[in-house]
Amino acid sequence: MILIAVLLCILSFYILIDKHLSVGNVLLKLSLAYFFCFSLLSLLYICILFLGINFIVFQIILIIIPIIFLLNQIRKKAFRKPRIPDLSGLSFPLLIIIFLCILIFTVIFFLSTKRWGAGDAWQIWTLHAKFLVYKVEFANLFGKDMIFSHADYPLMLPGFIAMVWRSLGTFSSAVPMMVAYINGALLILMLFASFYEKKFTMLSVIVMAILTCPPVLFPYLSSQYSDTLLAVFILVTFILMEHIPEKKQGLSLFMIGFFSASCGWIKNEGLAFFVIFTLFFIIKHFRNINKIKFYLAGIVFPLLVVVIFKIVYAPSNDLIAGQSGNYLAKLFDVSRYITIMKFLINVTVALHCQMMYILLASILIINYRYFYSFSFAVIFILLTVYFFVYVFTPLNLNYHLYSSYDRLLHHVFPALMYTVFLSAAEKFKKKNVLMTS
Amino acid sequence: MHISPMKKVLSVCLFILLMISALPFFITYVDRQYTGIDSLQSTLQKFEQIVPKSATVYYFSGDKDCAGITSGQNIIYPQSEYKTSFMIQFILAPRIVTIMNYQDIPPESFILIDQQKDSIVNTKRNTGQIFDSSDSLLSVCDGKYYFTLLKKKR
Repeated sequence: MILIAVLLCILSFYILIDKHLSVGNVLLKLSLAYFFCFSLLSLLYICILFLGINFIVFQIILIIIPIIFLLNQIRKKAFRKPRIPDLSGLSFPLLIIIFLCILIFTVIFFLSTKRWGAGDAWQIWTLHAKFLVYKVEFANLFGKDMIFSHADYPLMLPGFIAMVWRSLGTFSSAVPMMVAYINGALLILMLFASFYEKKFTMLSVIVMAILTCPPVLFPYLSSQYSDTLLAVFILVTFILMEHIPEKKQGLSLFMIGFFSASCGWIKNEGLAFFVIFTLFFIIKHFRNINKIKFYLAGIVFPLLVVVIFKIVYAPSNDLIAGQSGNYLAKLFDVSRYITIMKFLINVTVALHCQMMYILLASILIINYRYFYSFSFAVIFILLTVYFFVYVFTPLNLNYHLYSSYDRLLHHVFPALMYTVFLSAAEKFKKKNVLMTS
Repeated sequence: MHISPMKKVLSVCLFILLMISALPFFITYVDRQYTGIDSLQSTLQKFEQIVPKSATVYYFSGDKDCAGITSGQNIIYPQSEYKTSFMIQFILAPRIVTIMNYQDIPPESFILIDQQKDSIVNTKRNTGQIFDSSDSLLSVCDGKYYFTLLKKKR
């Protein structure tokens, strides 16, 4: 039942996006509709769980509302006439390369993923989902006696998995696996679609081929962690920023607000992204109150749920609870900086880091103005915040670095890659190098 | 190679159909894997029926000094037991699985003990007190470990 509701919701949002956003690409619109529904349904499911609303009623409402919306659209004849998707920019060999990329991605994903996912997947995310299936006993998750379950972590992924499990009536390991697959596949396809929409056809295929390479996004992509979902939502926010229409910007800005606030519903690191992004967004548009209003309207619902969850249910975070108050001592402790810097130098051998440095060095040569851009400022400040989390961490510094540094890069890597490539492509636009296939 | 737009769209549709038809094969390939969680789940299935969903289960590894009975200290879990405790927590959810000093466990609480078949002497020394002051509800063996569910007496 819930799968029908999800499909109807995606279809409704697709039509809404099709009408109000100046995006022509079917794939991009479909991806945006999917992630919007993913976040919204997860938020709504947690709301009905907290409020004790009947799940059957919830499912029926989720089916009825989109049906009414769709019937209304049919009655008004508000649908756009279906058109053949524009593939004129793609030559047949390029199309074959795209098919190969998707096929390779799929094979690598299913060969590298495991039933129930990697350690943290079933110890944290799927475990939380299992609790959230039960209408009363879900509160056990937030008890103080649980063994290192990180019950303060936000619930977007567990909420969505729990909703599907509850509707199916079974704890199938295929659900978290398929969620991870769809999220990963759409991350790559969305990057492709955004570049294609901007007519950088050749570049879109190059980016897709790079991201399909196993060491770039794997193993996090197949681990079934929340990290890829956060990477997707950070990326979506930047993609939407690049596709704001000239007129009727309301829905676009609303969605940017919604997606940025939704990052805080995925992981605690997402909250840091949300705060930084909102700050820069307001600074950038402080002369245009209307834009800020639409943006703020978008953040209201996700932020409200996150705040209620954090205040009412979530236990305190281990990084905050473990602080002994010696902030100044840690801030001026040179040995901590040396440890972090040594670690950063050591990890540059990882492909992730090498690619990030190559990307940043290349863009410095190609288009140094990127370093003044909104997207770079947000990503740079986010990484700076991560850096100071390490400085102040109450955990063993080396352990904390080794266990989390890589995944922090995974959060920002797709967005960094997207914005760097876009900045370079726009520089070359006049030369028409990257636009033809 | 020039191909009409319609043929390109058709090839995309064909590819999507191909992928959709291949997905069940991929899903089954992963879903049929038998992990440590599945093995433990089949062992603990009967426990799930006995322990109420809202209950707390106190878990001890019998091979270790159970909750400091002999040393007066909390147990330090090596990696393998640490992983087992997480697995039990995952399987028994939404029941709370926790570890604490045996003396601090409230009466009438559920206690789960695993004992390695080959180390009965250690196990008896470490868990004897727990067995003496609890009622045994169920015991199952998965080949390598005995899992016993107890209820602490009043």
